[in-house]
Amino acid sequence: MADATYDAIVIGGGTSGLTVANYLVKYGGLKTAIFEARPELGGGWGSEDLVPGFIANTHAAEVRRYYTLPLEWDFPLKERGFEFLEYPVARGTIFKEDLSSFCIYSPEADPSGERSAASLAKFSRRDADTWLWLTELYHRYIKDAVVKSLFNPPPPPGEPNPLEKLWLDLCKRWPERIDPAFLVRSELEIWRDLFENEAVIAALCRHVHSITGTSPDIPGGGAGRLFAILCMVADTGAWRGGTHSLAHIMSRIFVEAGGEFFTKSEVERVIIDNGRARGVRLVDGTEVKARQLVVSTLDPASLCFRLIGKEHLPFRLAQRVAHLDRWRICITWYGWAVHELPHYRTAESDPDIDRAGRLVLTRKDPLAMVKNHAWRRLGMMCPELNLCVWGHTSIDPTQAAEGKHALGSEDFVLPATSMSAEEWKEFKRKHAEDTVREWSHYAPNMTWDNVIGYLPLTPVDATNCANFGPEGCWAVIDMVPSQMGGCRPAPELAQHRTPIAGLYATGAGWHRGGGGSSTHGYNCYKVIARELNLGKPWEASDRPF
Amino acid sequence: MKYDVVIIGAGPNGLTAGAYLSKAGLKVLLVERRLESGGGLATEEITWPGFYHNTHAMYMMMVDFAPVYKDFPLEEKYKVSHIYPPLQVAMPGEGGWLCLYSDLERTCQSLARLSPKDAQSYRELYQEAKEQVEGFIAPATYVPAVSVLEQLPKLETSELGRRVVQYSEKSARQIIEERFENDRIKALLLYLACHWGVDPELEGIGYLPILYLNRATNCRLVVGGSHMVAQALGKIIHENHGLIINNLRVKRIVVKDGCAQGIELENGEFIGAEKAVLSTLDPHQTFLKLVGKENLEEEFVLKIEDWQWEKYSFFEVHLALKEPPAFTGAEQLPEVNQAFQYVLGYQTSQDIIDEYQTLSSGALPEKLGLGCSFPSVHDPSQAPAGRCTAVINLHAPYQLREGKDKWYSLKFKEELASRCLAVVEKYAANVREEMILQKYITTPLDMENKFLDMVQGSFKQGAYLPLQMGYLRPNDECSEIRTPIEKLCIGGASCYPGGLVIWGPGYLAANAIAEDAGVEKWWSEMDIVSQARQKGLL
Repeated sequence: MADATYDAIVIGGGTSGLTVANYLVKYGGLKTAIFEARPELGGGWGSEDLVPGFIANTHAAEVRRYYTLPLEWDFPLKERGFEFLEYPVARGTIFKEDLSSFCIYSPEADPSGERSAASLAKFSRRDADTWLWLTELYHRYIKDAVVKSLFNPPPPPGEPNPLEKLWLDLCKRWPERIDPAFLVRSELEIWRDLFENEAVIAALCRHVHSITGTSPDIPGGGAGRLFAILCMVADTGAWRGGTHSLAHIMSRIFVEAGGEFFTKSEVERVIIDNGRARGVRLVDGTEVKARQLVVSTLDPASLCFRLIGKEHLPFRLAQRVAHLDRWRICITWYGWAVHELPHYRTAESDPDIDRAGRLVLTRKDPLAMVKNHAWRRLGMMCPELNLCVWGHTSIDPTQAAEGKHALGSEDFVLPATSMSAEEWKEFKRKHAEDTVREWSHYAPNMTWDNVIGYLPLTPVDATNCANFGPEGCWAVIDMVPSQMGGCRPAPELAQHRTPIAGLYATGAGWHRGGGGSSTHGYNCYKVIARELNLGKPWEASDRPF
Repeated sequence: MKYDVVIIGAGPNGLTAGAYLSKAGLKVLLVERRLESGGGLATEEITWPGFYHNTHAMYMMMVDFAPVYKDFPLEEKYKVSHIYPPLQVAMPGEGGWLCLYSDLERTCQSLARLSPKDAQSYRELYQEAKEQVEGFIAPATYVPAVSVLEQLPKLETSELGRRVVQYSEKSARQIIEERFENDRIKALLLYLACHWGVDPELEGIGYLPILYLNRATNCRLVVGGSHMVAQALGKIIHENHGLIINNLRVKRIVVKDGCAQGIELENGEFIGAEKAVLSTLDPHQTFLKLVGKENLEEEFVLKIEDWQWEKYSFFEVHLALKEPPAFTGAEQLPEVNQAFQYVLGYQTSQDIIDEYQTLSSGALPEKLGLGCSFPSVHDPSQAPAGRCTAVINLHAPYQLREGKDKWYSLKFKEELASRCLAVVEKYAANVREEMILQKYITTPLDMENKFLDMVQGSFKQGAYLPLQMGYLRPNDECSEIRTPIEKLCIGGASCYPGGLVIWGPGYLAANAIAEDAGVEKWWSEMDIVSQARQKGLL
């Protein structure tokens, strides 16, 4: 490796790095190398044994079908054992006050939305009808536009993206239900424009919060907010075996195609010569040359202040990147090894609740998450839990020892930097106690007797991938409106180009944001392919992205 | 789908066979049930960010001999490197620290402080063990087993061979008791001779204590963790157009007319194997579950059913520590903070013997003895700056008197972990609860849950007993890799030469499969093997 030269160097072997590197090798025909700081590739596509034989998905715990859309077109994932497993009962909600509940079913299990609507009708007939309409809208018009907006670089700020364009069209057809104001209204306002029942709205706010990590009362957001809201209609699931499975598959396809990867090989700087990227220098001093390009998949701050250096940046860009928000998507993501799946009291009347993919346990308070953010903004933990729980073994038994189960629980907490290691240690223990106590209120069998072991992942633990650090923000940077689309992470970088010629950048800090999606790597390759005239598989095939 | 060779299991042996055979031009598929490949070559970030724990194979004991290191440019091309700590084993106690170094002279100096006679005895035993390992045991590890009837006459022709035979007849206890006088020295050496699952009083496998005593000062840590070796072998396989697929569950090995055709997955998919199916699993899974009794002779089935699992397994506590350990006595002898392995809690060789008996009865000793190690002291890349990884290994039975399910009890696990910690804290006062950021506890039952082939926590896929070793591992009909089923080979830890990441079974399987498939071996016989052959020992 020493003194080696490649056509393309990819910094970081996580979700985005593996995606862009595979395109560069296979469709760009470039001799490509990945340099990864950690001992293992995969980054956010990570899983660990929370207790031996029980899988915890350490970053992308929930996955969606669209995450791998281009990869499945362009690489032999299925032949390599890749499988997306869908939750037939995509989402469930149980309200703390009276243990009433409702379920939202997956598009496969409930194409017309009628089952979900019937469940919502327990709360409001009107809201059930709205759901049916939303489902139809999604399937007939929106789905393709969502994919188009995901798998293309975002338009510059001020210009509508494919989803927003469609939305503006649709507004003309149903002016009484939706209007262009949705593009600037807050999530909470949008829900209230559409729905009447405050409990349903509270539940939807908590569900969407798992996708945006943003307070429901923040205005604006355009397509980003619409996307998150419409995700409620869409699928949720797991990758068979665990999220890390895709990391293995993509790294092997890469090696087979002639790509080389180096773990425990942290890049210190991009070598810049006359404003052009010429290669990288590793922390051990090794210099590796890049004949054509370097791609960074690191977080925006590391890209700008470590790989490039402030001296190469315009003042305004440096200011913007230095002050990106990254405190909101700080999560506890506990993995639980248990004897049996939780059996909820509510299941007596609503049996499907036991099989819900993402189950929200919440109060009937639409402001619950707004308050959670208010506490955190003041540097304090929210005194109430706002749990979302799941159990991948209900659809994928391979993620636990035979006959046993692996569960997950999520809440939103302070960033890693807010407490000392000792304080986090204490918090981890207490949060486990609190979570089990709260959980057992809904599911009497979810007591400590049911628990074989647990892995307490917190924002501190998210920093195992440097991109998520130092705050432990699961989406690298927050997904507030001003940090989305053509502004993510800053307008100057959002098109995957940087102030340095030949240096491209992507990652979860770019357009569409957090989640183990191939979006970022794919879009970055699109930009590179256009500039360097490399292979464009999207042109050769008939697909909408 | 059709391949030349389908390998079941991507642990060290499956990866080894896969690497050799794919480089030989065969189209190889490895199917692995787990999400991660590497088997015991596992390095996991399971406590706190930046702490990497070797959750199974903690060190490599055959780096100086194993063919994989010679045949593949692991270090030059794949960045697999090792650390060989000068102070290999240390045991504190009355009269000061007992230290075993990679350097014989220093070891003898340390032992002489307790007993000059024992120091001299150690020197003699060390030389003998070294000669036996280098001259016979290590080379024999990498050639197919032959029957005792065939092997004995060869050994009888030389002085070295005769000594191997003499020792083989003895138990570990006899070997130690005959030579040594000091209780603590005897305890330490008996522990080292037996701690990978050898019954201290069992006669007939005395070459194992000799091997382990020799290897006790030849342990190397893989930089970045043991999994780095698995990663390198995986790369080699894919560079050579082999394929590893994880999360695949094999339903059966398809046998037709006494010949293996391939495998059927749990989803019903058939994957053909033109040249061979290689199972690296334990004998029960390979033959009883996957091949099926209907394809085997009754007598053979009985042999498989008689297979004995190990008497004890491991209870391990992995720690993310705020700082490296500070051991008592480091003021006088600072290097005791840098020992690779610590042996704690044993006073006499009787403690080791009693422990074995207690464990065999499904109980845990009242007074715990254990091993522990702090890998990041030697390889700082395994922990964040200034912090430290640790592992405590306690021998523990899978089948507790109260039943194996007791291992699921969080309370029981945590209490036992606290007892283990108390033993360590006695010698290293800063290894205590407040200094631990997080613990990760694993039990014998966990081991079985994680690796189906480690039945009842059998980390070597089956006990080391005279009737399960050498030519009899796993039995006389398939110790040479080939089995009564044509084109079905076996090559896991339950095969000759055995477990513990010694790179033997997978290498031997690669040789046998290459020979049977008629492909040219791109590798050559190792020098130590050729020399042993010349001397008539093999």
